[in-house]
Amino acid sequence: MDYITACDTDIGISKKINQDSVCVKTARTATGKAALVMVCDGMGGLSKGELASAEVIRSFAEWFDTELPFELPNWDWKTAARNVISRLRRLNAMLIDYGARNSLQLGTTATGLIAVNSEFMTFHVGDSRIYKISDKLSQVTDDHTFVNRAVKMGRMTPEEALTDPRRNALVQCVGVTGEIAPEVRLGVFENNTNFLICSDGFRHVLTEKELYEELSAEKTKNKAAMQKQLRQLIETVKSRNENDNITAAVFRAEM
Amino acid sequence: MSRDEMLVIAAAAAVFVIINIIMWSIIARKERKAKGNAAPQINSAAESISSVSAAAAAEGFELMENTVIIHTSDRIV
Repeated sequence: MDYITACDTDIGISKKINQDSVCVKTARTATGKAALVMVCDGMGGLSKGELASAEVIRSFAEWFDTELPFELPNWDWKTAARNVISRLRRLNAMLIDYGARNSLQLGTTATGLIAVNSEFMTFHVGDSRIYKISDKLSQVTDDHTFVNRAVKMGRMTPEEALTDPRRNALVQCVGVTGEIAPEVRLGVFENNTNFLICSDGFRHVLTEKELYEELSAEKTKNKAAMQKQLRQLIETVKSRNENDNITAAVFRAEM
Repeated sequence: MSRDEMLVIAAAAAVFVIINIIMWSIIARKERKAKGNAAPQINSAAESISSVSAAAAAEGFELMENTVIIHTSDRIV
């Protein structure tokens, strides 16, 4: 088994600061392979969003390097899921406390995938997304936005959600909401299946058809091809006048 | 158009201009403040964060890919 992964980020065409952070780590271990792929989108309207996203990424990156090696011999996905939720809640409390002490409001989405051999876990808070790209494109994560919740409750149609002025309002993100309920899912890898993890700036102006066609396993046979496809899509996003920072990562487990 | 009507229109235009000047001054001040609050950006966006210990390495843990991209060197301590 092999893991193939790539990531890219861009400040975009109009922002002065890139508030997104991204992490791609893979390791060879005594029990096989492990990986962490994660995207954090620092909140655009909030001061120090780049600090919020960097702190969350650093925390998970340090966990991967320093704690995971000793967790792997007794690896258990349910325990791992509980630990990820606890970590996100601790980071949430830390950012809220920092904001209160410094009269700031800083927040970030946190969306990622942890892989151990042929199994994986996704975790998610906010409106970044994970897509599974196999024979079709499917959204793995739920958007934690006001409009998505309204649509699910039948108070708004999907069409109304697209143009609603509150479409970017989040119901939860790390560092802003007092309590967070991270979304965690477990799964088993399948052949020829890519996972795309991206900020909303990456996906806003791309169609699902474009994501499916340009990031299929066929078009991303190796790391270089993956990297090239990501950069090409980012340039397309910029040419379509997207105003946000743009960040994405792609991951595939090859059996 | 009478002289009085012209005076009313001129007064309304003057009020509109004054309101605009005040509004844009407030917006510019807020933007300056937000810019001042922003953490310094790292010139080179990619930062390699790796702290695999010798003990972990002895367990057979070897990093193959290690990309961490963040955009500030500030920390919350």
